[in-house]
Amino acid sequence: MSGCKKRASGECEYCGLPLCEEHASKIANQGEDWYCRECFLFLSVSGRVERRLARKVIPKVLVVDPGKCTGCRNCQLVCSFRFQRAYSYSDGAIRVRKFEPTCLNVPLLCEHCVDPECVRVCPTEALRKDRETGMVIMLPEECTGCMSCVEACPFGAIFPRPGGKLVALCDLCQGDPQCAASCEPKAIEWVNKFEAGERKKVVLVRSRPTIPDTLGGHHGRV
Amino acid sequence: MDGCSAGQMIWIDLGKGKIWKEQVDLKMFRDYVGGRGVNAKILWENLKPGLDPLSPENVLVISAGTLCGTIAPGASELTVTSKSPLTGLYFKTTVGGHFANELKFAGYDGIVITGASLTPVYLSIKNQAVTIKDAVGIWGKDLRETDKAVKEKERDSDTNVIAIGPAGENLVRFAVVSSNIYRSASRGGLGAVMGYKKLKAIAVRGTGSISCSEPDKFHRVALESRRRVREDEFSWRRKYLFGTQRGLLTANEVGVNPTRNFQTGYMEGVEKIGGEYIREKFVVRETGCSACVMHCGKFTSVEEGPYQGSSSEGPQWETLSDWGPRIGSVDPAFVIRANELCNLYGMDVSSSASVVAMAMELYEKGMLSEAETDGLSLEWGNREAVESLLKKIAFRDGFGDILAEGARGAADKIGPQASYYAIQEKGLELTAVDPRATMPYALGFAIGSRGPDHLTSEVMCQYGSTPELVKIANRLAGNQDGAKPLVPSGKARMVKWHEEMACLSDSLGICFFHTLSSYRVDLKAMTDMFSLGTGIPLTKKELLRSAERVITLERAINLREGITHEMDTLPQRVLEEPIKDGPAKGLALPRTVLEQMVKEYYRLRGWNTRTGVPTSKTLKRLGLKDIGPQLRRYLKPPEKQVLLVKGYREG
Repeated sequence: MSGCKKRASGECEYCGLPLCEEHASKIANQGEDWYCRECFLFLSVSGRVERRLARKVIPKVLVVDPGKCTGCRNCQLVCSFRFQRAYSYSDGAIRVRKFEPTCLNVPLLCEHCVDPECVRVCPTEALRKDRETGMVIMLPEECTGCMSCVEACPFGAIFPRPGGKLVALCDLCQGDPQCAASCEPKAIEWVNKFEAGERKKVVLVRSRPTIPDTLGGHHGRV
Repeated sequence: MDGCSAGQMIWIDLGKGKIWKEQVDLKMFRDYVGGRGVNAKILWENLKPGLDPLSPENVLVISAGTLCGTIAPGASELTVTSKSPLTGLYFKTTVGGHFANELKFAGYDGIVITGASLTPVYLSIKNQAVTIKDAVGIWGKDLRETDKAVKEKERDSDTNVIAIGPAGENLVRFAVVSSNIYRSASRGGLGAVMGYKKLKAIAVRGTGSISCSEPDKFHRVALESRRRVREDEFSWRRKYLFGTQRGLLTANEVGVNPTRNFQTGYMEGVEKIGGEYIREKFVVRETGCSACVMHCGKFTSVEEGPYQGSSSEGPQWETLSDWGPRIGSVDPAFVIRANELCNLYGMDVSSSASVVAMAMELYEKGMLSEAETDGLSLEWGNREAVESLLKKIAFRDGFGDILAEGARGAADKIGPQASYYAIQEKGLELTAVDPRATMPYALGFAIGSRGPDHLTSEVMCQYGSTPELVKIANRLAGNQDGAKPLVPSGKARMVKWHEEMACLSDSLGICFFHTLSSYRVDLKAMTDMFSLGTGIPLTKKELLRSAERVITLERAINLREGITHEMDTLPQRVLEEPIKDGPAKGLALPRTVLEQMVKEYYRLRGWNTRTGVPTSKTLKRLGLKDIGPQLRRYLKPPEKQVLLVKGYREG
């Protein structure tokens, strides 16, 4: 995870930090792929180097902080635009669940689980775990609209399309999630995979009401 | 329909229980833009002049702005229009939240409600299915419970609800129409109109979509203007962190913060009820309306002290000033408590604080005794008394019954000497800026189509807080005094332009903070979004003329209801008393200065400078020729009519 102070001439394939040639650990026979030391070590130890090399990895994840969500539902609008070229609250793959008496808003979206329940329950194999990217994908022509996945999803993040047979599923906008790009309060962020864990910890610490808001910024109790 | 307007409106006759749908043609949007403009047109055509606002025939029009449902920055405004029980004149009031969007997604631009039901009902809209449902079990509930009950009845927690609280049911003349519990179409008492019609709530759920006429281009333009709003880091951060609360502190520093019923403009210890202190102690999280960029809303809750457990969205500048300095108190926890009570009962914060402040001053001056106030000792800052008085007002109980008539009505009931202390004009109570120290506010308050209120023509650039704003102000004023609020010259031009922009914002459904507060969504962006969204090609000039048309039409409705140029003024106290102390000590607003500005404004609008009636030339220019004959028929005193005809010839 060490970023390099010198002029970067490439970035780590896994964590996305800029690297100079000196700090990069190139892997033999795969001249194009660069890793920083930590990632290289991590990947080698876990025996994933070879597998990583074989596929293109998306090294970023969507992180959601409900404490920051203001419930403007802009993410819903841009998401539906991507699917339908029209704006709607119900066509997209993201929902903001609103609890109006306390103004609590919780964005719900696909976590692209490692071992997804939705894939397991899908009777027609319309839902699959993509080996290349690790994303859960849906093949519209296979989907019968049985809604098993809607029930199975532990995060409540799969939604039936209104009237239609299909379900809507997040495809991370092919690597440029519009929900994160359009979220001004930064409740949804598209971040480096390693940073994501740290952020979650920060959210946890902040949510403790006894700790004053010295971490700079949000005074949120989730 | 092709374009971002849904193209259909729901018409309801509650008396007969009839529901029908009418197409709205593109011409309507071209001429009146949408939202506020279309509402004004419908009101002009359907409202019988001279009607009691609280009668079955009064028309209540609720419609979403043209761009609502899209990602245009801050496009979430729902406009509620009717004849106001508080002023007896045309009244529009807007509210954010998600109702407007949901209504558009259900396939409607608006709802027109006439007639009155005999038993409590609520309206349920689920895409194509529109039904009037029984609300006997919900009647009498406060707004939080109403929202819950309606959602339960609809069996859908995603339903968006606008409703009235107990105040609306009891026909309090400043009851609100509340959206998503805490946001309200607040002023003018349109909640009482709903209450008279026995319409407790409207629940809407729409699963359709809104497609623009040129989707990709529109999307790009909208994203670009969102970016422009966000780019202004200073004003964005201020709104995001403090909402409008910091405005109170600034107003207090300059000495224009109405204190103790406009007796003075400065209050000690206001730091505690604005900005950082509230954020640190009470703010739980930020909230925002649909497609918002600013996220000015704050959900606050009190965790200790006598008001423990109070929580509500807000308070903003208005509320803080109203339940703070205006009633002579600086207790932030109490502000949150009073705000919660107003929100739950469904009462307008500005008006209720105004009447309470009036009662307090009358009590101080000895014009009210404890026998008349049901034993409440209404000393300045007596919070317990205010709390129980709020409940009395909402349920029209005892002394509250008098105050529930609004400042003008209450002063009439209390006695002739009381009317000097009712800080109202045209029946509407003034909002939390002292117009004595700023000319644009004074003029805007005097000529506002709904009465003295900042939301029809707020001139934010007058203070020139950044060089960019100074430039805008000077350009609009046509001289170098644009950013000097105390110089009257050129202010009529500024107010005129701002009034038109405000009208466009309301009609398009874009929240003020994106257009008039930061000046980031400019006329060009609005025109582009309107044209690309609806598919009606308009130029900037034409769109601005549409706004002018709407404002003139609103004037025509008001004239038809009996407004005269003498009513385009400000309360006696503001015009006669200089500010007593504080930094703005001695500032006064002479009547002649105001009259001069109003005349200048009439001239710019193309209205008769003496009577304030649109000249026939202006009507012709704006394509409103057909309203001329009716307008002339209703202009009340015959001698005025002679003047008017003369004016027409002159014009």
